[in-house]
Amino acid sequence: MDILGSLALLLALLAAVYAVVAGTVGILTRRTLLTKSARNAGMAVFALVTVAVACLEYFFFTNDFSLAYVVEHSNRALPPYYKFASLWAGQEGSLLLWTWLLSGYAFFVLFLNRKRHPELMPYVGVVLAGVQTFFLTLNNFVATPFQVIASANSAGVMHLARLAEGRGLNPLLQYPEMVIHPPMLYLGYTGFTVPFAFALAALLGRYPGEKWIHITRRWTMIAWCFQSVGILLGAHWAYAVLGWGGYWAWDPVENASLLPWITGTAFLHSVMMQEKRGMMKVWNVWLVFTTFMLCILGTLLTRSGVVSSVHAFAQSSIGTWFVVFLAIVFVVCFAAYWKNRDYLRSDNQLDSLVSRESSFLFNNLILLAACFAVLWGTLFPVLSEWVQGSKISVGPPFFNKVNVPIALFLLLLTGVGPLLAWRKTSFDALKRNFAWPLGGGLLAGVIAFILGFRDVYALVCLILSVFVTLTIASEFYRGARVISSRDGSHLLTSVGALTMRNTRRYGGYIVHFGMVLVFIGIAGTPLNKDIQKDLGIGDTLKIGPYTILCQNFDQVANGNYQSDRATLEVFKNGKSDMMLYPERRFFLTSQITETMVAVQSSPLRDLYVVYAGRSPESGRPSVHAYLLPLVKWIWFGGIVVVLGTILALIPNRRTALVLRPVTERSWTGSIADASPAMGPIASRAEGHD
Amino acid sequence: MINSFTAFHRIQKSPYPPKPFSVSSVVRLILHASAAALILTAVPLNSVRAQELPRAKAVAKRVMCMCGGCQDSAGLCSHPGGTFSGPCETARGMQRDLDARVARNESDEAILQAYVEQYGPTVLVEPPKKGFDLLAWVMPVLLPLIALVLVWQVVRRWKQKAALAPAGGPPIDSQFLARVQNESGRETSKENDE
Repeated sequence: MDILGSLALLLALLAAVYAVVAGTVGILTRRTLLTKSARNAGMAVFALVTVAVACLEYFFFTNDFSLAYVVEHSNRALPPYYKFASLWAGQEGSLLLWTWLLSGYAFFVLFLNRKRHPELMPYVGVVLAGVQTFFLTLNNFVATPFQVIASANSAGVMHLARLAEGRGLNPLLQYPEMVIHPPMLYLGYTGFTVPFAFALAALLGRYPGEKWIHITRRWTMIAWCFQSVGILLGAHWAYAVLGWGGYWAWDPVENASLLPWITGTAFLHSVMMQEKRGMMKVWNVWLVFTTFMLCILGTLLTRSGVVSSVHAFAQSSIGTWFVVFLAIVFVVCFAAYWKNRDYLRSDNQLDSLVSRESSFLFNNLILLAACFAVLWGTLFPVLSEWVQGSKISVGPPFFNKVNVPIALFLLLLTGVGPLLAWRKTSFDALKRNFAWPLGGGLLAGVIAFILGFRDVYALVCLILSVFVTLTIASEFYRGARVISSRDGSHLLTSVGALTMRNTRRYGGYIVHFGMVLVFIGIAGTPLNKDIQKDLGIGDTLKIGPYTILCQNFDQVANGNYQSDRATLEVFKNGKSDMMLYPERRFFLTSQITETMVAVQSSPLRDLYVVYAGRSPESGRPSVHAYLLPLVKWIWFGGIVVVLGTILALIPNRRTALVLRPVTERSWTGSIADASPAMGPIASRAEGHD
Repeated sequence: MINSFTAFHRIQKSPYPPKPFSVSSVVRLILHASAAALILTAVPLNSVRAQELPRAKAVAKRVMCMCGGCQDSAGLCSHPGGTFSGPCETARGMQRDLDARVARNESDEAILQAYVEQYGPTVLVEPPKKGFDLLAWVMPVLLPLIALVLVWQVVRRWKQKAALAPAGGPPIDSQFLARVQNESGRETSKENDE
């Protein structure tokens, strides 16, 4: 089975190389047969990598410990869903997952467009196959997951070995999110390859117009959505597993996932400038190039050990390969741009500063500022060490101080931008659109202040959140009122009709609303409280309105781990409210202990309890309780973001043609001509905004 | 008495390398011991967090836990994966030391300076705002400002272009224009008829 897996990976590499070479020759010699053959080879890569993935999973599920990778990342008692997730627990397997998802995207892109865009697709196929060639080279020669174990017998002759048991999966990864988080994030990272391939292809092939943007709009949104889900699931995993009461630590690897997400967000907004007004063509191409390069940089940071990170499971000297690939990508992109920059000449005109166009410009500026601030902080220790010879730390307070003002400004633009008209907005319209939302925001600020919010940033965040929510609501209301007055339908029905007529615009608003919810969740941070105390049976701990009574400590065990569990009864305002069971799990094969946090979550606050183990000072069981306001809003906001993106992916509802007898007499005055005629009564859907 | 003995014993077990013997070190030791005794009598014995002094807690969040494994500040170290999910031994040692220093009335800056001398600049959670490291703070503000100026220039140029652009838009094919005029003329005449 290992030979089959290795062979499949090798054939996949050959197919990818063939797709690059044959595709290039086909383009240069204009031989359709050759470009078709290259496309088929590009599609075959997916099937071959799927075989390799299936082979590796077969080893995990059959507890076949003859592969080094399986020994390192699995054991017999591991539950099946974690065995499945062991595929991406280490360097080799996670790179294989990367290649697999990338080849999946490539397959669907090539398959769905097999009869479309014959001038563009050969270039797209070559770019996609080029990226796949790089990753398959790593899979085959640098980090192969099919390395077998060998041992020497008494005569010194090497022979294949099969161990009886593996070392088990890293306990930190034994959590439901870990089965979903990495594939989601990788679907985001790899998904950005699609718009990158189309942008580069359009540039190389001098493909006219904004076609590549129309083709890739949905692909970019899908990748962006996966990236968002991946980041949020990672945050939730950190929250629920690590037991430190936080969800985002500005760790270099977390930052690495945020960078392409930020530039991807900027791209999703700036493409509208090109679609609507034919502006910013050079900017858009470079934005998508940058997004892809940041994905590769993120992988480099995750795997090279260039910067210190808690995600140290996959560090090795593989970083050099990524540096070289990054350099090649940059050179190719720059050469393609330089050679064909004439093609990107756009007629940029701006009628007014107070317009949708300028709001997009500022949106991009702020997003890029945020991206730079995160990248700069992440790489500064390396730069400082290089220049001064001594390493410095750039911890969370730095990132918070630099990024919070930027993020708040962005939140403000989220409210202002969509209400500005294309080309020009009058001062009266500004006053009319913003008076109520701004008033509502300020009122919310006063209420928050009375409720105990004293942190300036948190207050500004809440004011802006309510402001943005009200602007979004007013957009829905005004649009729905027009429909409602036109056809007499109920206002809520009209909201539905309005949304379905322009899913991209109103889906976008829902995504904005989801982000507002995330911001509200983050605004609760300054009110966090925590207390750590040694608790014997019958002892209590008080935090906020809760009193925690320690009832018992016991042990639970299964084949995979032994668990020390605390049984805690929580009283709220003197009344018994709930039971919590925080645990510490000792994983038998890896001999590592991890916490399993107990969280009682409500929209207002989370009660987050960690059983920390026996205090090294007193030897007594110690419990760490946190009161974390509004955290639930972050996860709920994430769900809203996903729903908004799905809505924006749905095609607009087409205008219905309804048969209606024409009762009025025709202009000729003849009754015979008053036959039933077809007349469209619904207006055409509004254009994309 | 027991408490001060415990404190003395703990200082002896401090993870930091012992300094050469001198009169000042003896004085420091006595100060250490009495400060720690003071803290320990104030701190209930069931508290796992050594720190109770608010200023010491604040300073602990400004220095990294130097265990090399957790990438946390000494004040917030929860050391995931450790034998105890709370401050690790290194962080606890640093917390105790900070409490002692604060009790001795050392200023925040003096404490941080002493830590930089002991561990190097990596002990600070944030980059120092001086020398080359000042760039860490300046660039995230400076670069967006430069970008803002550039965007402003671009916007001005685009606005000028819009003002200069001909009102009619793209040139219209003469045949197409004639057809449109013809058709619109017919439409108008029909309306007139009615």
